[in-house]
Amino acid sequence: MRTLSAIVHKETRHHLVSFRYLVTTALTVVLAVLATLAGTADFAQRREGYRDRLEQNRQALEEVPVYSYLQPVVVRPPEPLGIVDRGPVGRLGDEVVINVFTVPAAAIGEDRGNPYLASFQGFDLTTLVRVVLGLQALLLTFDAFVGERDRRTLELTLAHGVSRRTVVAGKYLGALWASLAALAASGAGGLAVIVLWGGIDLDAQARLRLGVAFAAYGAYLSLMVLVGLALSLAARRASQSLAYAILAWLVLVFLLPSVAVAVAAELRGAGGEVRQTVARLERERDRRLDEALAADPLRTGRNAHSAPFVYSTLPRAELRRYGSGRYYDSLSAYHQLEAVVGMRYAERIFEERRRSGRERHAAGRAAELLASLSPAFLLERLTESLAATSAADHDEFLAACREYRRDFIAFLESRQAFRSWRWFTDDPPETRPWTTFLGFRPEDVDAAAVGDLAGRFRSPEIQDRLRDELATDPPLRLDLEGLPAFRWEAPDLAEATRRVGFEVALFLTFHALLGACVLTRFRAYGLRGGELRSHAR
Amino acid sequence: MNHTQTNPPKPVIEAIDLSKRYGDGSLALDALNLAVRPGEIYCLLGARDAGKTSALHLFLGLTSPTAGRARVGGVDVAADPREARRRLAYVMENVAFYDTLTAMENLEFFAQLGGRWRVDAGELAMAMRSVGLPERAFRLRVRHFTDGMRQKLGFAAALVKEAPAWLLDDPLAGLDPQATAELVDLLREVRQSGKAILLATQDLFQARELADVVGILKEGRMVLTTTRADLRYTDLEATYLDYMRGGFSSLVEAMA
Amino acid sequence: MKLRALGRLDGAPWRGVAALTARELGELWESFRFRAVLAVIVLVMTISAALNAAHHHAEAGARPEILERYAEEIADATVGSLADVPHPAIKPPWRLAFLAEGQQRQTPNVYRQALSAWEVPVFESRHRGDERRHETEPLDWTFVIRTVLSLAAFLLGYDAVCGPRQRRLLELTLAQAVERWQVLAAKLIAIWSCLAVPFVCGASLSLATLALFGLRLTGGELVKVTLVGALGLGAAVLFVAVALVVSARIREANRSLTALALVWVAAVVVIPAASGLVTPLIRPLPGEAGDGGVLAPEETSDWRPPEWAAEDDYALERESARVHNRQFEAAESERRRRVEAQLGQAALTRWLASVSPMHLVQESAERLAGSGQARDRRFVAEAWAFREVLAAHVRGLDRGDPESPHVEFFSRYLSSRPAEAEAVPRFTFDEISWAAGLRLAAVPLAVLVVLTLVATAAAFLSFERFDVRGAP
Repeated sequence: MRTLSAIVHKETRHHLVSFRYLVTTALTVVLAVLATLAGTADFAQRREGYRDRLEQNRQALEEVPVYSYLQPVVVRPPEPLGIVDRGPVGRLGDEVVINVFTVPAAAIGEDRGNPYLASFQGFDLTTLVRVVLGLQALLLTFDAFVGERDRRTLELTLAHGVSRRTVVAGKYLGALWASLAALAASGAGGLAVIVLWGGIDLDAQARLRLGVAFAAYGAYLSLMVLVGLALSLAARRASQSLAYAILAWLVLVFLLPSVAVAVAAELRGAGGEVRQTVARLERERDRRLDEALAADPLRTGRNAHSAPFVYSTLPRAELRRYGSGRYYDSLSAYHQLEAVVGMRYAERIFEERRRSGRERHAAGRAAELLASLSPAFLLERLTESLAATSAADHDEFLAACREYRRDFIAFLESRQAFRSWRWFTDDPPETRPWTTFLGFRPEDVDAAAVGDLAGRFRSPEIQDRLRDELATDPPLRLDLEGLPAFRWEAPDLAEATRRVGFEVALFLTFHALLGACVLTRFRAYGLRGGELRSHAR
Repeated sequence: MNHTQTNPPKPVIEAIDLSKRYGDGSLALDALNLAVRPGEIYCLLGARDAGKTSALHLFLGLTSPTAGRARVGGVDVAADPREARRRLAYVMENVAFYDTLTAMENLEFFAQLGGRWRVDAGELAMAMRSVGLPERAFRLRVRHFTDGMRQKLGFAAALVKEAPAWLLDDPLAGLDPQATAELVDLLREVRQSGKAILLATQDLFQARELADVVGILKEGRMVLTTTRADLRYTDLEATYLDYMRGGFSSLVEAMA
Repeated sequence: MKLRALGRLDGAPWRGVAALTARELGELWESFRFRAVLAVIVLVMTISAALNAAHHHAEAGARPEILERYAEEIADATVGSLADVPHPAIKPPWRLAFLAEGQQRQTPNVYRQALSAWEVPVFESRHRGDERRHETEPLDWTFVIRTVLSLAAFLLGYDAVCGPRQRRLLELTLAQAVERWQVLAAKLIAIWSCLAVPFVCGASLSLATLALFGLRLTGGELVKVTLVGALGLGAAVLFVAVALVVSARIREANRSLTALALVWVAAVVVIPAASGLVTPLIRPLPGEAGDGGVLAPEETSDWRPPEWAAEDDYALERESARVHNRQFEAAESERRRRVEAQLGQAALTRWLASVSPMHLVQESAERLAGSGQARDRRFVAEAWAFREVLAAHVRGLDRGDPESPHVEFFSRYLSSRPAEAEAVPRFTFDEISWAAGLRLAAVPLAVLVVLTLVATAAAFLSFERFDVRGAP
């Protein structure tokens, strides 16, 4: 044990004073501070935007006159740990309009910034660790064995009776401590920015997740140290080992993920077929509804009963005024059918999208598995999940939106909204059909006279009276007491970890394999240029 | 050859108050004066970092002097380093060759650099034979050579160049006795052929065996120059060690 | 033994360079590094060509879907309803994505605009792709030049001067009758050749792969391919020169490669990312433009059924149309200002990022290929201009109907005659020609040339001063 600790101590000291370590650590600390500054500013902006949208939505709900206009907007709060790993959530949107006729399958509001800056997205802490600290780990270890062999110090060490296993362990731990020290330095810089400058208060869960994220960084660096040690054993000369290390870094950190993800994306396709299916279903639905609407002539065309004012600014949302009771009864019957048919088709369309999504996902899975050979790719998956910025977290959010939609529909049913006139008009039960403004009841008006009457109705005097009445009428707002509130919380740590079980398992497997490889190879490692083999322990 | 003869031949390799101070302030050479004549082996003796390699680099024009002059075959090295290098053959310690080429190919390449674009393979083979390389080594890749074979190949390259002056930087260091003996014989032959040889070494036994003139270099200064004739009467070993330890008294006694 | 006299080298300095270059090439050719570089470059370029060709096929195939729906919408349209139909302006799939993708799979590629003031025109990104995928670099020739070729140059050149073996060989070589500039020129040419050969092989395989996928390049496109290829070969000179400067200035080979690796990280990753962070601070975007053009119910102006409004020649409706159109123009002007601001911000970001030579190479390649921001700008300008073409067409048809109220462009108050679907103008997009691309790329190319000359001069100067003594 004392021998091991002596070797670890020597190795760590050797690394800490080396040029490559000092330069890479300095660079990482500076970049960590910059990245965190930018991430914190971005988070603050998103949080402000989130609060503004919540307020806007709350105000909009208060002014809703009819149930068909009631389309609550659900917004996902920004994740504070998005500073550490942005993940794909920015591209996926964070806002969903809850609508009876659409099952939420996608969000809107994706990166409200500049689409022409798509390839200048900045970098986060995970990218820094992946790229710069990953490189540092390789630079610290590429000549761990081959360099010492060339200098003949390895021979000297083993000649003092130190076992080969101890040497391997000492080199591994020495390099690891040095890497972790660099990680700690950059992490401290980043955290200081988050807490002191950003004023972001991390709750207990967030702190725990952050801690585990740093543990994931440590595991990644540990793997890269093992890669460096393995390369050092494979090369005949230090310069060759360094070349291996740089190439390994290029392939593992950049090329492998890029190629694998690009291949996966091509295999997944764009889901063009599902769009066609959805369009067909929508046309089918609209055809059925058009037929149903036209079934009662009272609902189509201009007549003395129908409402002259139809406001429609949202999908399938209408506000009508000044129609007759008969007309509104007929319309109500239609809207009940529309609700049933609309919701049924919404489910079918959603199922199609889900099925297509699953098939597409499966198609690209094999290619993505290739990317999993890259520790850098694995690290990203891990930290995205821990930061709650992964695509899976987005799916959870959408699932929560769907759950909320069910609650919302239950609320509407409890109010008998679909059966009520209030679905489409805020006219009172003793409604004032527009013909009454001219002194006629709708049933007394001939079809032929409707045109003339309508013309008189549009006269400035009548319009002024209407405006005055609307201005003096008490505001007719929906009573929304009991409207469910949307609650969203990122999954807890246990769930986040469970989701990336495969990646964690791969990390452990790679550790075991590389560790075994290094130990085995070093047992047979020759001390004279790899030509003479010594099996001494 | 006795350098005290009247009308001695002109020196081929000459240093006149040659000094070199590097950018970090270290004084590598301090007013070095030496002259190597045709058919003479001048041995520059000194410990590591005494300035021997710096002196050789100054003659090669690989670095420029801070003061003084270096001349090779009458050519001022600083004024025309390329011309000076044409008159020099250089053999270094742990001579480097291209591992992926054979011995023959390496010789051919360096001959080309020396300006000989078409070299007779027979000449190259003869050069290799004269340094004692076995026939089977001629077409063997240098990566398979031992240290001794590499040094011999270095000598062969110097032979091929046919320069009037040779610079040797401890070329026999680390060689086995047989290889050393063969190369020592070769050097004698080369001297016999009229070349001027400047041999830098730490090995005083080699110096005693080979040198016509010995110059002891310490911390960049030539502290003693002595000839073969004087060497017969002087215990070179004691003198050398005395100098390395910093004692001047035995020198005064020895020279008295 | 009798040997011939020394030959003279004076009359043929380049023969010395040639001999040295052949030797350097021989060394490099047999090294693992070169073989690895060759494999990586050729593989990446071939795979990227296959992926890009497949993607192009799929996107081109998807295009008819958008146009099919449009064709359905205008099939039975009247002149009036043409005003309500969103007419798509589609930026065609980028054929040279394998060469310089230039963000074409991320920037907006569809502009849907109706003539009616009630419909908000919108730029959309409707790309075939997976938003859920991780952000990675597009694989094109530019990526290979900027990322792989540069790192390969550093890998091959970091110890060209200061490596321990190299240093000893250097001592022996310089002891011969050669000039230092000859030695360095040989190293530069040899290392450049070891990059050029894989790059040309990769490029050839890349083009062959495209042909296999049925993507036939036109003459103009082939010129662009040649120009970008030449840029790659020229950029390789710059990268090699930088590697040689560092190798000559830093006496230890490991430090030399560490320094070069960090330079690479800074140039390829940090500077472009930092410029993306800094630009919004220097030039923030204006606030979100309001929708405009779509009036809230409370703002409904006066619209009567056409048969009633005809009584007074649609007086109210004309006034309402003027109000709506004015509001639309104001809102549209705001929207366009925002798009211009976005493009301006992106341009500034690119200029800031061009502090990095690698990004400068990318910028040059995109301009030469007619991709990147130039293509985005052209699409935006042509999409906006298309509105006038549509308006002129609908106006012409409407004016041809004496019974039409001519209230532009409100569907119920325009001609109700059927409109011939085939006659409706379709948006066509003209790609940037190679000559125009060359003009656009003149400035960054000039900067690159200057940088290359400076780096090469620095390499020669550094090598002149290089001390062949071993490391202390």
